[in-house]
Amino acid sequence: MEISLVDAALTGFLNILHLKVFYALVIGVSIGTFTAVAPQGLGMPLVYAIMLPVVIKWEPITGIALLIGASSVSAVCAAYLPVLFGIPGGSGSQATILDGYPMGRRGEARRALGASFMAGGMGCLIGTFTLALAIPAARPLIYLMGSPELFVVVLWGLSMVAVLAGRRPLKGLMAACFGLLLATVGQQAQSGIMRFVFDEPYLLDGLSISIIALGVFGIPAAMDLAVKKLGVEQQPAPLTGKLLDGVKDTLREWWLVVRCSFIGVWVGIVPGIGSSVVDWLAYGHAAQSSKDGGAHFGQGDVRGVIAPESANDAKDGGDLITTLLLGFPQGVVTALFIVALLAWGFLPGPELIKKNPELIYSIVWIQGIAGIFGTLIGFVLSSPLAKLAQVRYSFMVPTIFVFVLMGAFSVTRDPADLLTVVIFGIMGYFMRRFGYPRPALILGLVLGSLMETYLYRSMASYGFIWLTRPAVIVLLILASTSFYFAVRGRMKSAAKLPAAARKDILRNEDDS
Amino acid sequence: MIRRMKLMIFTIASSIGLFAVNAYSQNNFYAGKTVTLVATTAPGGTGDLRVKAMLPFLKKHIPGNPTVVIQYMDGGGGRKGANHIYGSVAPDGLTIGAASGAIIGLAVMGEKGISYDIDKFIYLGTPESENHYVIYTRKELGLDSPNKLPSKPGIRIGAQSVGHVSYVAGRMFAYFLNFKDPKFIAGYSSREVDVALVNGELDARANNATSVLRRNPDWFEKGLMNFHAIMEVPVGDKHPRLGHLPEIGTFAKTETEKKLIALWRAFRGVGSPYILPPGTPKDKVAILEEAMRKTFKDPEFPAYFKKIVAADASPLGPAELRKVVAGIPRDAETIDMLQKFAGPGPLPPR
Amino acid sequence: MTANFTLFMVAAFAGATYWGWNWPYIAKLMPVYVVAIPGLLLALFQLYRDATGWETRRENAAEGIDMDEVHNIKLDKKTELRRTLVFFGWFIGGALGIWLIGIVYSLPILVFLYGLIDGRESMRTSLIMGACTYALIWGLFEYTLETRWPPGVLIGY
Repeated sequence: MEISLVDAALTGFLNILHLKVFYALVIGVSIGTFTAVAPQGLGMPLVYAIMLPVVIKWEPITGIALLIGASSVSAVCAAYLPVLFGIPGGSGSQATILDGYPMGRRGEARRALGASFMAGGMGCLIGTFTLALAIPAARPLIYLMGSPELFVVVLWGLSMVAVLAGRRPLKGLMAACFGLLLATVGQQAQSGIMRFVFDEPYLLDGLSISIIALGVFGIPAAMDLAVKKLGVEQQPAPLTGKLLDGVKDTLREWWLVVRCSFIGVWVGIVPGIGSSVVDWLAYGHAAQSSKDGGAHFGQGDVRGVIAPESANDAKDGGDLITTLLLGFPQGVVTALFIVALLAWGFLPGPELIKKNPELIYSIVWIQGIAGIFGTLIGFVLSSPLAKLAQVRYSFMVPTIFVFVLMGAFSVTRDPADLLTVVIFGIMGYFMRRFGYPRPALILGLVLGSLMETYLYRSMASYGFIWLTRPAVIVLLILASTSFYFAVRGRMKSAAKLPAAARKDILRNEDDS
Repeated sequence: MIRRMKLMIFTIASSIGLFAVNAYSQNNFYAGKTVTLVATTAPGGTGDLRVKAMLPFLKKHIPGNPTVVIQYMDGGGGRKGANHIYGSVAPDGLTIGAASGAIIGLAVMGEKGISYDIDKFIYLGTPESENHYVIYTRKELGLDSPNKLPSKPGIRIGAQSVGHVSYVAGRMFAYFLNFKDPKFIAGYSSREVDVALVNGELDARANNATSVLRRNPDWFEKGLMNFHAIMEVPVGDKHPRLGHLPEIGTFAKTETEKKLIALWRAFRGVGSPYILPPGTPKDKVAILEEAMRKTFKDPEFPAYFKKIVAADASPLGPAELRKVVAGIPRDAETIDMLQKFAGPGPLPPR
Repeated sequence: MTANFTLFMVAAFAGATYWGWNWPYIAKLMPVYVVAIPGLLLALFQLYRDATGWETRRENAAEGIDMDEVHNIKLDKKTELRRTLVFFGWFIGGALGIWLIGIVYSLPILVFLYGLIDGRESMRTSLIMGACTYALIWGLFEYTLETRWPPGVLIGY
């Protein structure tokens, strides 16, 4: 490198101290905040594709400020939809529904949002800090994990079904199996065989996780409001708790934030895992590693909000590590970011570190500042937006309909998207009705195709020898230990509950 | 005599007048209207950027400067959008298909779910038609010339999925360069293949020449990978940095093998075709063809395209693209052979 | 009723086993051997539990916590069933509307009608809700971003 990293960091900071960079950052942050609350049809990929032809005519730092500002804040503010409406806020914010929505229903929307923004902001800063430190040493990290190691990690993720199944392990396993089965629909990459396609071109590319998540979570949430006629016949729980309570919760759980943030960074670094997995891995880790074995997860435990949100926001830092330092895009958004960099004459990868390290640090500074902005905006908006949780069903239900139907239809704009969301909406209702844990279904769906792919690749490249790789052995030991302690923790905490409390918690779904 | 003169003058004047009116109305057909580009790609990806790179120029060069909007219809490798353009869209010149080149190959290979006829589409051109492919292996294998390749059994060649361009290209290279017992491992994303090559999980890859040099320039400059052969699309068009590599066509021994390569080259050579549905009136076709020609000749187009797409434009006009499509070999024997390369089974014996 | 849903699971896993049986090994390893056959066994066992009322007996002594929202609607059965059916009627109607007349028209109409009929909101409030929905779908996507939604089967635009 021609200049030292410290000089590059300072130069990078000085380069962003211009009014127009600040304005661009504000515009980007505004766009990101809007997309965070908009239906899924208006996600970051579309926003980037629209902005790209415009920003490439600007100066690089100004354009980068807008792009990074938008994507960073979009992740930080993604908790609005899960907490207030019970629908996924994007691929990295599905798990937030499990505890965020019950908190919202209990009147603790402000606390949930406060926790999510604080955790998101901290996660963003940890991810950014890791990005800054990773510049000299990123390469080995990225090449450390091959298909065998990734297979074990995915298996570890699937073992979280045991936690997410709660007191219904059999139904949880069935739901997970069903999710795994859904993941196999489509043309198999390894063999070209059309599995469960039935000559339907729509099914060639498989089923969309977004549509299934929208149907399975969003429709039962809306149905609950509609059947209870919330706000008319049944009053919503009064708004209690403050934003500051959520902030304090997050600071108290700082170690969880750090651990989940590193999960997020790692998912961002490693090609192939994807953003749809990060929140589930973090959530499952939080449940498995809690002292009470995750006894209150799924019922409105604030840690169930903190974990996925910190991971989801830290992931951006991980994404940028591989994008900037190796030139590997991790998804559509980073691929488009690379296009923008190329248009400005910068080649992401080792060349960028050598020739323009100050640019990388400018991006690091912008990412960090955008994260702080996003957190502050989240705090400012969360009090007024939290009141949406109190709005009567006649407003909420049609809003959820719009979000679910538009979000589903925007995936491929095919009428079959609508049929899919209807089917999975009905399925989500029945699953909740009869006690089949929906998170287990989603986990199976999200991890199923990854598991199959990594196993196939491991066997094809190495035969059975991959089982003897040191990293695989270490990961297997870690996964087994984590699983053992999680199950043991659950059994211990359940035994400690007084019988009356157990009865209150247990509900009878079988009176039909 | 005078009467005849008057009649002649009247006839000529009327013809000129009608022509002028017609020209005026042609130029103004698109004024105030909206032209819809049906893109067979998902919004937000690099395929979308290729379409967006054309938008301002189509707006500029279609007479009347209509509004041009994009309607996304991805799915089934482009089948869905192509079916829609072929059969569901009014052929009034107001809807243009921005298709992926895969729709041509899918139709010729007789894949399922296709209700369009590639010979009935009206082709307007493509912004990119150059698509050179190369095969390379890890330096650690020590295979620094094509002659050494047959000596190393079990070379592991990575690709995205069975039937993907890189998969078929990899298998063709393996066949023509006489790889011994190659293993084709699909199921990687493009960047995962790069990572797997570096950490030794894979040994080789077939990839677009420009793309690999852009992503990993040091692989070529520092010799971290050994590049063995190139498939030129179009043939004879030398890649500026890898043009010295032996062309795959030079390894073909039989007429069938030459036809196979020609078929695959033709599939790659159609680029991302812009198409109109059959039955579009000839005058509208003429207007849009002219608009495409002007777009490709616009001095600002190459720089703008490169900026947006991060790749050089290599356009083919309407006539050239029609020629490429018409020239695609359709004989059953060649198609059958290509299907073996596109499928999961073992390579045919040589 | 629970047994009906378990029967659905049994049918799904059995169907997957049947359809996937003749695929090559590499294609059927995951969906058939790893998922469908074990899933079928689990589902059959659950069916047995449902048939014998195992879960009802277990409720009083069970340990552990639910990891998902629990169905806790406390209404009489008839009202709950009627409202549930009405809800799905609106939802499916909205999806059908998008297919028939396009999303730009159908979602604002759905929002307007739901607010007016089921929500018993005033005409003014329902119209405002519908107008806001139209502003979002047409105003943002079609007008501002110039991205066309597909037309409906009956109505094109």
